Amino acid sequence: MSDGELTLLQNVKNSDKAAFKQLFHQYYPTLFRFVVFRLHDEDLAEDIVQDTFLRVWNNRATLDPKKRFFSLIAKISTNLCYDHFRYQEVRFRHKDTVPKPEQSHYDDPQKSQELNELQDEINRIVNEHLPEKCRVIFILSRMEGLVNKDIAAILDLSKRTVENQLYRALKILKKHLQDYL
Amino acid sequence: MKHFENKLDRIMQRIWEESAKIRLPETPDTNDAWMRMEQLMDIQEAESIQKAAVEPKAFSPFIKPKLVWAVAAALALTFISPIVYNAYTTTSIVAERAQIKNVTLADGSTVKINAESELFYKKGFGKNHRNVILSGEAYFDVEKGDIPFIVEFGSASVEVLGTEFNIHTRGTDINVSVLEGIVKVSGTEDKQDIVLTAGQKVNFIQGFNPGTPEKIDHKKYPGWIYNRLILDQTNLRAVCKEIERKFNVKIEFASVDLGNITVTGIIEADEFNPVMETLATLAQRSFKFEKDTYIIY
Repeated sequence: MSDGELTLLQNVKNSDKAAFKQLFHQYYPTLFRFVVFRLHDEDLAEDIVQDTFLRVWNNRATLDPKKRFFSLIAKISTNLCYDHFRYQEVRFRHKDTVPKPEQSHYDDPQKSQELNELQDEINRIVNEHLPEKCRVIFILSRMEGLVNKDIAAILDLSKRTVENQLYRALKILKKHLQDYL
Repeated sequence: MKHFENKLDRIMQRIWEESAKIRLPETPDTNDAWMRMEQLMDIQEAESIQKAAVEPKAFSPFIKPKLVWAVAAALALTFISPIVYNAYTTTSIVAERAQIKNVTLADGSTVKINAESELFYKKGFGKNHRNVILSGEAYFDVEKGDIPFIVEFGSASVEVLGTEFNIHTRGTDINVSVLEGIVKVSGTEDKQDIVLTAGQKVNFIQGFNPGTPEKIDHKKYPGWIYNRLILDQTNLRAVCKEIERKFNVKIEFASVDLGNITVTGIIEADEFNPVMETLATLAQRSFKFEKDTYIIY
């Protein structure tokens, strides 16, 4: 991993706010898109991202500077999303309604109906059927457009693992998308 | 990447390409987000200072049990893994180049950590032990206590009960100087321990035993905590290393033996350029700046 991030994390651990600010600026956009992809709700995503960073800051004493920062915030934010879904589930249980993600209002109207449907379907399957690690890697690759080498660096995995997980993701998607393709 | 894509069948290729087209909304302004974040942090900090007046000590044993529970609960909610355990058992405080860090330890002792130096201590500091490990240089003001305060650095260590002293350990050179109280300095053999009293210092090297104590001749000593360089027959190589760490610059010698020139004097080290000029005068040399390096010739 880069020495820069190691140093930043070490400084954050020692309550250095400037270092925390730098990490925040570096990862906020990526984490926001990561969360919004799952939630389809920008306001809620903003809250969860903020909560994630706040938790890191409040627990800074226990940070391990050697661990990849994105892995940590991806994990925390995912847990916060689960908490949210669990809460929603309780709210809707009596109405016998499965909480469905709201229709994203950022769909591109120019695109053909069919394409949008396919993309929505991919979106749904990624969120509902991909295992955690697989999902994080797939989002970073496809939605963030990162190359395998960079994903490996961000998550502290081998490039091989990243490729295997992506392949696995595509296999699962293919299985679920049989009706569309 | 290309290699990976070539392995995919037609349907997978299609999914691969389509998934990259999924639109995500614009990201909110990061600066605004940070401002809100900072407000939240300030509010929480104010609250936690009220709860425990020991910020920002990492897991100090003196933090009230209630707060420890709160932290533990927050952790349980977020992530629990072996990572946490390691980070929890050792704390490290680093001062980078061109940086000096002041820390207050759990026992109330204060440490001023010089540039490019690091201090470590294990869980239970102040409660079960007062052992720290130092690399680089630091000035200690140790609170009196029943547990001995021990600083380890390479093959040597210093043991005290309560006092003020400086430890300088760069490369293999060690210098321990005592400003107040008494400290015991140990090298590699127990029998060769020496005792330093206020106003004394000792120089020795890693892997050896400390030699005979000497008198500290200067009032503002050690120089670095008063932002000055105190040179006493010090070779240019060591002085330049110190300047490199303090100002985060690169200094080289036009020829290797220039590093052996010794200089004596006191340099006020608030700003880089005057320091270099004074040093050049003392050493009767000149210096120039090329690319990113200062060259003494």
